[in-house]
Amino acid sequence: MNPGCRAFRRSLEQLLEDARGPQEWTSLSWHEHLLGCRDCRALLEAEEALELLLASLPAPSLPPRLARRVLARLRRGEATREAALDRLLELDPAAPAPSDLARVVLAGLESERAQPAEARLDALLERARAVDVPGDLPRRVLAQLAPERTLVRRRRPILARRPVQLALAAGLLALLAAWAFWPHRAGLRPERELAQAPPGVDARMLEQLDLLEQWDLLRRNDLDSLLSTLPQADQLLFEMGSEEGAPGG
Amino acid sequence: MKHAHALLLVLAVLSLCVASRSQGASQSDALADARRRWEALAPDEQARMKTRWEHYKSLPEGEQRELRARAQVVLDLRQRAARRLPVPLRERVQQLPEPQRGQIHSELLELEMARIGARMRAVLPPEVVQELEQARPDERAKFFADYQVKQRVRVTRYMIERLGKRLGLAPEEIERLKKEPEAQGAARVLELRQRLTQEEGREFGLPPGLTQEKWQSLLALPPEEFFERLADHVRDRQLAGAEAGIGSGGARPAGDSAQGLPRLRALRRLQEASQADPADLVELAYESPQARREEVAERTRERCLRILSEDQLISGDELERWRSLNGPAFAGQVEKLIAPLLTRWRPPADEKR
Amino acid sequence: MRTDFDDDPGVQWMRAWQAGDESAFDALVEAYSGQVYSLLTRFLGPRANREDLVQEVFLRVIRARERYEPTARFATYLFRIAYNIAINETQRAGAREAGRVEFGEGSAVSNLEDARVQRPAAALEQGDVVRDVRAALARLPENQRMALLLAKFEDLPYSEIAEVLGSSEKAVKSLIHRARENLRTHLSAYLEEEDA
Repeated sequence: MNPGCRAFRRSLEQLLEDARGPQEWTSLSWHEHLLGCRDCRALLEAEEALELLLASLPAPSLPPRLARRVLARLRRGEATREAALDRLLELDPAAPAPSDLARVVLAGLESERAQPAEARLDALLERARAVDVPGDLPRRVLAQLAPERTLVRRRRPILARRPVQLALAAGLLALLAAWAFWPHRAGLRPERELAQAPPGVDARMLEQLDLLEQWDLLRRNDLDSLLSTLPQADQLLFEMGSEEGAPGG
Repeated sequence: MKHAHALLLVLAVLSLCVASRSQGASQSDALADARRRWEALAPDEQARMKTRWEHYKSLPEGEQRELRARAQVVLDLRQRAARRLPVPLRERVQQLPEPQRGQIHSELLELEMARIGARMRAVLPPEVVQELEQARPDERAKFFADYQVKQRVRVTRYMIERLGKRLGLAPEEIERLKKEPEAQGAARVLELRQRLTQEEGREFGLPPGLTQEKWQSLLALPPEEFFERLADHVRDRQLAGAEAGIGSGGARPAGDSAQGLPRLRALRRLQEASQADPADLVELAYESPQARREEVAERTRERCLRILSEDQLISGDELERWRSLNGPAFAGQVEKLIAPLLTRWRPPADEKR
Repeated sequence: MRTDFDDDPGVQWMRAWQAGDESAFDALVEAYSGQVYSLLTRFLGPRANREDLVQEVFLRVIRARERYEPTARFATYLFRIAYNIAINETQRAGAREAGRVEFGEGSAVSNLEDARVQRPAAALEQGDVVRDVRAALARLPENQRMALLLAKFEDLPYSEIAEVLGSSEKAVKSLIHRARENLRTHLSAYLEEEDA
């Protein structure tokens, strides 16, 4: 953390609050600070403030709820990746922030304003939209396809015909109903037989069949295998701990 | 007429339900399912399972318990890997016949494990990662298990303290939570964090890109799934920002790659591209595993080269040199380049609270 | 069985045709052949055999009559067929080489420089602009090109473009972004002049 960071973050806070300040902070120094300071870049990235800042052209304001959220995080030091933001709260009141800070940021960070360039490209593409479709195209296409259609109609299988399908479905339903309510179903294995292990096979082994099928994978002790098979709750716990500066051991 | 089909289908399903209910619920559906799977195995596979079973039985109870826990995690990972696929791709995998479907599921699982492994490496202190990597393979699992238990206790206490204060819990309540059985610790922390996130949503507005409806449905999820989906959402938005955003307009300066934020965005695109695309796996489902592996690696490499070139992440000369590298060397260079994205910022020791 | 797309006119015509109403197929061709023709023209340029390719698209629809199930809007389904046919066509015509040269082999940066449209000094005729825009589109890799055309000229949402390309929404966003970047480079002469 250096004085540049404090000044930058004060500027950001003032921007978010729409405060006005003296005009001494140049776009270049803001830009250069960001180029050189991973932590401040991380702050902007993590909060997505930059995307919304740039998306808020031409009026340099953030949606109020996001502004409040980022401000609160700045104040409480809870940015997702920055655990020591309380240092930021030692703000340097003398650090100036230009009132048109958003435009200054944009000028520094972008070689051209994305939105108007996009609009210009869209306008260019529009000019290439028109295609001269022949008026009688459908008629010609249908004429060319006629022989194939006739051939396919002749070949159309009997089973593709709707009345045949319905008759088959009704017959199948009747069979299913008979199967469901018939007291004895010859040739089908009762559930209770399936619920026991086959002869010569330990039922406890069957209960662990999932584990046994994954045996090679479970016995791997390369680091990625160990890390990725941590229980998910532990993974999340360690990630959160890391973000919040928990001791690492 | 078109409703007739629906009606017939409903009647068919009803009759099947009646049939199954009339048989009475089996007490061991799981065993019945396992038996079916067992009987579908080839004799040599059955012999292999028996050998493994004997090995498993010879392990101490503690190791057996750990293996069972890991097996459950792996099953969850398989499901998570499938959930991360776009719906059309997921359906295509389901429609594959065996053995292709099983192979693709296994390979998707491997990708998921690699992804999570990389994520967790970034979370652990570098010295711990180094020690784990340098440990003897037979000792590594034990060392890691010991570390995991101790770290869980440390982090749980730390996080309950912090989250409790931020939630405004009474000191006695915080102390009571810290004394809960260690096994519940992680779950408790996630629950508190989810509560805090919910309060932040109320106070400061929803995270960007989420509607109220989507937010409520996320909050209704169990904590693990909530955070997983939220992380995916944030990652997708960051990637969309990287795709759509900064530094993308206009002519680029020749020579050195773009600096600052444009470079970070480009690195993020490269990071995404450097991971095997599940769609490639599925497209190549009918190739042999070896051929598929090679083709997927080749496509991944091509994607990376395209981004390295388009985003000018390295000079033209370097690009030519990288093109001539073999697979592992190329992957190593890419990994080095995207390392800043994977490194988590940690406060210096004197700033920890 | 009812699907999400039953209100789509194309889906309704297909179902009617499957049930035996031959005039429904005529309606499909009347309604969609122009759209397919336009897409193929924008994608492939003004080739002489575009009409043959439109026929090929509907020929495949005829052959798929029995097994067709609506899993998307009918237009999306047609575009998927059209895309596959267009790719085959570009492979046949060897046009793929142009894409490879630009974006894979050699020094991509210098190739991009060469590929930029040189704007005539004099004020442009509308025809020149269109020609140059189409040339720039033709230089895009096929998947970028199709993604952009579908988004820009057919107003398809990302999810449907993903259906057409057999890809994911995220990949589609990336394709469109890259397509636009490449177009900005190719057409920079036009875009810069308007700044001046």
